[in-house]
Amino acid sequence: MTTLNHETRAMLAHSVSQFAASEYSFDQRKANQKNHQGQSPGHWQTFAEMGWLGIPFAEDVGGLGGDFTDTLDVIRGFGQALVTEPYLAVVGQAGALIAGSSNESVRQAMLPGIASGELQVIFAGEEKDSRGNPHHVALQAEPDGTGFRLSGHKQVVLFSAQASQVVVSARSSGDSHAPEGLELFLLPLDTPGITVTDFPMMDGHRGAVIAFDGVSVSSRQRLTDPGAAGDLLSRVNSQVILMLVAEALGMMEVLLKKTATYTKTRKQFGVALAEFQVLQHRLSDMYIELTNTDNLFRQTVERIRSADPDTASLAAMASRLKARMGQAGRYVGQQSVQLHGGIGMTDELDIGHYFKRLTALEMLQGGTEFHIKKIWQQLKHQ
Amino acid sequence: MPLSTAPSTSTPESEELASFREDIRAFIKANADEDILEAGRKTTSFFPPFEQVMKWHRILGKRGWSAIRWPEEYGGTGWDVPRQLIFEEECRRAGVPMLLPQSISMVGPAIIHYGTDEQKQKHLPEILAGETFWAQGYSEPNAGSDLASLRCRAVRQDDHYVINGSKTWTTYAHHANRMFLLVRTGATGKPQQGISFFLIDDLTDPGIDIRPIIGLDGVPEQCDVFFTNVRVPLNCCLGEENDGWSVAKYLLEHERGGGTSFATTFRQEMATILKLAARTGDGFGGMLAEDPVFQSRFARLTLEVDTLEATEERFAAMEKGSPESGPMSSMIKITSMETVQRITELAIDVAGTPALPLQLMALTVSSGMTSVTDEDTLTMMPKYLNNRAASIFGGSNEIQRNIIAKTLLR
Repeated sequence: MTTLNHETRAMLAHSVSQFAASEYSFDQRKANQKNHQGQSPGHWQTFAEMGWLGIPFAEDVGGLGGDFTDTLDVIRGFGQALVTEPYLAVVGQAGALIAGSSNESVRQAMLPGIASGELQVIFAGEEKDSRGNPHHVALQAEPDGTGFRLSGHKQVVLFSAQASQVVVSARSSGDSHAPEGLELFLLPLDTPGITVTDFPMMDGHRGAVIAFDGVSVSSRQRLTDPGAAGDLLSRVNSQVILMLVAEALGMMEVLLKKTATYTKTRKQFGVALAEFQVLQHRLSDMYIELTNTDNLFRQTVERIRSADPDTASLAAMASRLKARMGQAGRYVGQQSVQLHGGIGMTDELDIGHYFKRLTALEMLQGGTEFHIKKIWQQLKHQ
Repeated sequence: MPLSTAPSTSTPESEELASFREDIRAFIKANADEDILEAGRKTTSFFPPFEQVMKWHRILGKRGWSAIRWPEEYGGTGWDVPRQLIFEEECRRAGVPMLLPQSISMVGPAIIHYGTDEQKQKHLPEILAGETFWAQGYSEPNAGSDLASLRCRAVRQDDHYVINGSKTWTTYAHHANRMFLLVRTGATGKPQQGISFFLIDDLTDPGIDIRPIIGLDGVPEQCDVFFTNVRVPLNCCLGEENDGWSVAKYLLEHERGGGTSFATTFRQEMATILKLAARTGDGFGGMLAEDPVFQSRFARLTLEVDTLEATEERFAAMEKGSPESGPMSSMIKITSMETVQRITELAIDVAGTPALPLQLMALTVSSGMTSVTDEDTLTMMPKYLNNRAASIFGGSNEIQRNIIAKTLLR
């Protein structure tokens, strides 16, 4: 539960728009891509100074004492500015898993460094067949003396070039998609047996494939009780989905505004594009998609804040939002490009970059159809 | 699960056609080298990697098969529609790149229809042989959908025209050695009047500045082209001076449909998607190919492709310029481009996050780099991104719908 009040949240969101206005214009973003692969140590230090890196962590470990819902307006601001820094990977995924850990010494050792920006940790969860199911883990944790040996592959890990450690999900028992028998380990990325292949992604962020080849870990590196990581994995996965949706909403707001402005200024056949009814309706439909999704999002956040739902309810809420956002994001992104015409297809203009990031957000943590199926499964069991 | 790329209800082939198919298949097998096939695999738009597709064009040109639909007297094959389709099916099956449309499907037919004997003799053999590649200079920064408002101007000076102005979205201009161009030569009457259609055969003129534009997929495909006092001879005009709009309209009809069979290409894309779905997990312990949501979407799209093929067959047999062929060509443009957009959407949805890595090196022919994820997913995101242009170029789908409505309400 958060201890932050409304004013503090508003202040945090305001600080993001100020940062975006002075440090993250589209041209500055371009330079950041070129010089720092979209992840600047300088920006990360600013993030720390602004308090953004510590929002969801307790005060005793250097955080602000909020919860993940307090990061959502900040992330919406990141979406508006197309920020590519690894906030989601470090704070939303790895940080949240460590914060939710029952391993007190790991909490105490890691969170102050994450909040202060000195330490970047990432999370390796996704596998070839997991499609967004956080419990679908085939990477093996085989008992080895007092510890374990990890073997398997993680794909499209949200990556930070500055990361020194990784939290990895692994299976100590059970079927490849059972919620039981799951473990989480924290280990340095330079542990022998780990191979990282990192790459740029089409949205300006960075990803990696990570191979674990008989990597030794001790029980002290384990984040939860034996075989009991499933609940934490699911909760953090749901939280990350809300963060992705917040980012997408920020981007859709910008796209709608920019596209409406463009149709008012671009002239063809002697009149502004905005004079054509078919394009007016297209803009209306973009507004409807965005606003419906935003309303569902706001209602969901309120319910989470007031009721603190159990893991299954939180997952159900997240699936509804992710599926709705996927539909809206695809429509708003595609139509923004369409209404801009050829210029919307270029690397020069920001529109295409918003479109690409929206496309990536749709696919991360399970695509639309995966979550539609989750909704059906929940309906079936009601 | 069968991975057929043939139409779902095709009838058995006659012996004659079957033997024709055998000949085509044998020719491709004997002549398409690994570079050409790799270019086919790494094609992510309507415009395959230039060097390799032109190599294949020249091979086909030698055999007399580079412009299968042209009239025989100009170097076409004289094949009937079933043979044309068999040829394209075999090309798609073998995975060779589709020839670039600008020379063969666009300016070529216009020269055949409007050209003087001199123009035909000069340009057609070079096009067939693949010695020239023609870029299309139509759109301008302020003349996109409203093409008739174009402002690039050519003024007569003695025995030359002098061109000033600019063009944009000129595909592969940075590779081209020829360009066909719409320019304003007259200032009176409606905007459509006073436009001329030029054939430019020297792009090395220092007054021509070609600047590639990087697209959403990270690759330069389109170009800006700037003309500053470029002198061209008077006989570069195709058709009458100030009557270039008629030529452009004729050519657009060829561009919008009938130039080539999209359905055949789309089937190949669908087969790749199905293969990928058969080896991709659904996150619930099953495979995507067994998932009813995927199956329904795949079957619907297959039906769309089948329907498109029927429309393409009918259009191929239709006389161009007839009252029916105008709206039909707009309809083909809309249907085929929306179909390919839906196919590329299904492809990235099946691929999932492995479609996200940006792999420009692995996509480059003979780079030796392999995909960091799945080989088939390598091209899926670039195709999705690139094909967003399919509803914009060649007259946006909104413009095509206006054309159809105009006919319906006449």
